[in-house]
Amino acid sequence: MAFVSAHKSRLLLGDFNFSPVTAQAGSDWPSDMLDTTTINDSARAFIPGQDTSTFSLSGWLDVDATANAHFDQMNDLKSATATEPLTWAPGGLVLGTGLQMAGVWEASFGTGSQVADKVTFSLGAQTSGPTELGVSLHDLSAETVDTDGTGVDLTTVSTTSGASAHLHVTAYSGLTSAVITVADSANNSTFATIGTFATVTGVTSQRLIIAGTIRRYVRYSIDVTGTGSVTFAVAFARN
Amino acid sequence: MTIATVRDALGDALETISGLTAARYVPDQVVSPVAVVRAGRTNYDIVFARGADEWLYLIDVYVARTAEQTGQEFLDALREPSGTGSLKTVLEADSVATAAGVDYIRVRTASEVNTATIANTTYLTVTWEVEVCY
Repeated sequence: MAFVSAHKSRLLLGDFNFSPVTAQAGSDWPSDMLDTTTINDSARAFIPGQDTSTFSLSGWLDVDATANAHFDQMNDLKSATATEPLTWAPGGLVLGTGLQMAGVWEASFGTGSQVADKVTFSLGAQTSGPTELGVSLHDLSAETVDTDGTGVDLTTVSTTSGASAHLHVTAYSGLTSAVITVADSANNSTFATIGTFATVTGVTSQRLIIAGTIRRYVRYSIDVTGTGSVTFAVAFARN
Repeated sequence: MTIATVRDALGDALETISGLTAARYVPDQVVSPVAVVRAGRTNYDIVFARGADEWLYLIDVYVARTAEQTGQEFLDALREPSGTGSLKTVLEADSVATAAGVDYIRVRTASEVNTATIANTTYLTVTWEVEVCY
């Protein structure tokens, strides 16, 4: 058992790191319960149906009006034309830490002011499609050179129903481009690429669907072109 | 930013008030009228990812009792909610937060007038609570 202080929680939505402005966050992952009760039953009976999830976060609003800063990001998310990858890491993004992943719509955002307190924001996100329980392959931090991440042992020897991966690039400078991939391995020694994110040339986010067999160990790799820095996080979940 | 930077910014701002000097740290002796910057309670981690902490600074202003009314008038001027001699107005100026390298500074409260004895001299004193966030 390992409890963790909530100040270590991290939440990434699209290409923005909401963590440094968020004071409270959480998810709700309900399943429909289909009533199968018959007149012969003495108690009501159910079977599980489809599930969905919602995410909520709130904290202190950064009122800086700069493009792609906090306030602007929430406006942009409201008018998004496709779902954005959301990675909710209650225990943080340290390599191998468990987290939740989903493609979401920004369902709501609000702001508030109460005298003698800070200006607040709140944001609600609605998942479209599955919610996955995954792990962190790369904590949100900068890389400047070609790097292979450390393999994360997913314990299960192998699964065959694919996986999903999230890439959140929150800062980018100087580089011509960066290619970030996900690879698997049976022995944590010899890795083979199983998924490649679209080439990164700036701040961005991507949700990658990977088909087929996923072996026991998984890691990220980055191949940079040029001189500079890219700050990103990678999350991964088996189906 | 550091605590020392914040102390300096607060002290520099306080010294723009006519007739007031400022001590960035608690001194053994004071020459009134003086504002002393004192560290208060710190609330770490008000958001995730070390995004911000909330700091309380205490500003103790000491004035001499030898001319009671004059001293109290000086403290009243500092207590005013606005104006060039208002401690609240002076410390909440955006330029002070910028100099301190913090998100914002808010003067929360001013205490009642008390007496304090320092180095065998008794002063009238008021304490302002100043909230600093970064």
